[in-house]
Amino acid sequence: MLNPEIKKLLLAASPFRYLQPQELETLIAHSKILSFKNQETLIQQGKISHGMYIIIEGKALVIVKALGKNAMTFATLEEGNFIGETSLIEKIPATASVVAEGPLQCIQITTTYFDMLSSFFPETKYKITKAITEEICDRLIQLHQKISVLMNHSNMTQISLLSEIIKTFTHPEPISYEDAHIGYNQLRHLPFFELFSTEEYDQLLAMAKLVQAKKNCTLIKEGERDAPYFVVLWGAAQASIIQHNKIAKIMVLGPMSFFGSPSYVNGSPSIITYSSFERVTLLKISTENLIFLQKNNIQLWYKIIDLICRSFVTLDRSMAKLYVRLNNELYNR
Amino acid sequence: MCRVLSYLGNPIIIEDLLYKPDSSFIKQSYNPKYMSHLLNLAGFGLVAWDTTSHNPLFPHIYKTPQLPFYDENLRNFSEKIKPYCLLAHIRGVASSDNSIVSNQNVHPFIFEGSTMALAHNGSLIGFDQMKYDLLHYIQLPYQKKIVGNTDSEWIYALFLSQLSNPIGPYKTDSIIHAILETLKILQQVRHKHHLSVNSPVNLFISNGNFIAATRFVFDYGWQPFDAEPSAHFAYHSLWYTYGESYGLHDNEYKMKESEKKSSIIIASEPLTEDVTTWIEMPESTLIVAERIGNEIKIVSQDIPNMS
Repeated sequence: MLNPEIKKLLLAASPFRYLQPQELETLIAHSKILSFKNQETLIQQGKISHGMYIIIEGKALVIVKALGKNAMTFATLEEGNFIGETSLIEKIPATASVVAEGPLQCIQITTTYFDMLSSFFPETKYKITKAITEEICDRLIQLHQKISVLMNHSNMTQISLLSEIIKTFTHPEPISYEDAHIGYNQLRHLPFFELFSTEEYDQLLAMAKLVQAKKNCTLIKEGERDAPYFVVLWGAAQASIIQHNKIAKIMVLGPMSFFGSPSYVNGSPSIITYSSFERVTLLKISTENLIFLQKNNIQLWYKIIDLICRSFVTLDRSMAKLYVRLNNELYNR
Repeated sequence: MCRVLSYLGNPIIIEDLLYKPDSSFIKQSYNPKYMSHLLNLAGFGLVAWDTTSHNPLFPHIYKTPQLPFYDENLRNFSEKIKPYCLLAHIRGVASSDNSIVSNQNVHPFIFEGSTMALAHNGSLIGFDQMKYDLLHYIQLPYQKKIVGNTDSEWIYALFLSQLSNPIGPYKTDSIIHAILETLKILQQVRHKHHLSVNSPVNLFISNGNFIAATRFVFDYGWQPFDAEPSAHFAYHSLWYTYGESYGLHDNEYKMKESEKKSSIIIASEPLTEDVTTWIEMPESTLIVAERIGNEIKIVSQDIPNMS
């Protein structure tokens, strides 16, 4: 049994906010309580973190080293705060170090344990993933605001209004598998679909439309609500921020990339503009069909929400890089 | 796959770049961290500009088709020279008896009489079909100087042909213009031969006063359905770190922070396992670092889609 005070603390922690008390009990029963000495490192920036840590006693400092800056303390974390949540989603290097400030106790949800939840407690995993995705989407909005301020104050080259108007009139066109010279079974062998069982693959494709777009065609407009999700099969798309006729490229999304608007996650409109970078062949899944899958095939839905979360982790990292670059480079001037 | 390293800034003993960091440039030939299944064993070359050398407009040049980690001469040389600008390349080619490993194919390329050097990380798919059409765009004196059989040397000759003269000085705008023209011509010739398969072209160019680099792919994301997996179906990486001086600071190799930025490294991968003070350039981007007084300024821009 968990100490009631710790249980209350954990239920209030953002990643667990959708869990029932019993689900939290089960989760924590298989987790470790770790103790750290003063100045001991929990997470090392640049190294892959072994999971998420929730502080139950003591304080920790978040320290960031970045291009153009000495190591600086970014935040102080206290009881109930958590760190390393994105390591549960993507096994990528941590973006900050976390060091104990005095004796510290944490509960650690390891990445391995979190992955195992898919088999034994998929709903628990789903609820945590959903909460983390919402956190990341909120962070993206803040980062977007910071980048927009930098763009507004820079003398970046302005894009042609005419070309932007033309983009808004070009849309991806539906295309048959036959016309695209794609065999239905050939797609099955693409890495993106390895995640799905044959039944899930069939249902996913039944819910998706094959579309093609010429280059520079708008796929998702900033401000758009209920935008669809896309899987890039061939070619590439681009994610950008457009502010006052200035454009900053966030990243290019090549084959097997999955992207869409956060509106499905947190109800907010898209903060990013997605357009075709090359001519591109995509699978398009509408919001209505995502809702249908959520209601009718929960196992498939769990896998999709995992992909959505990963796509926002990638976007978050690319936007953070853009922010650093805008501070160091004369970009698009 | 190849690996490329460029440096511009305060004079530096080159072993601090080539040998000392934990993922040093020489280590990247046999133990790269990115695309680690591909080794870079087909030759090493460097050009280095040093104000104290004779005729400093022209760089030291060292090239060998041998394995750099067995090269005692390179090691000794790297402990002695202290250039302010460097462009180095380790060549990776397919493990095939069709690959030609020779001194003529070692990068960086620098024709006699020119101060401009170029190294390339990438591969133009179908280059054999393209190259004789490229002659239309390459000035005659440069055509005669091509001695190897790499796509890279032809790209170098094509790039030089877009410049007003082989020695300079050049403004940043004219360098950017020449790079974009080079890419545009390559794409025109690709079109002519109906070549539309993903082909990466990361160029590194310097004449001692600037370094320019591209992270670019023609027809990104388009590859044959039945193609074998290949490193050339992706963007090759491009990173930089920027600050006062590179070296051992606080027991780690990194760029020392300062308000005034006077040194930059642009490379295909970081020189240390810890990449926290490095930035990865996004896809389809061109970066130019130029020395202005005692400072290095960075200009970057999106490369327009060429298709």
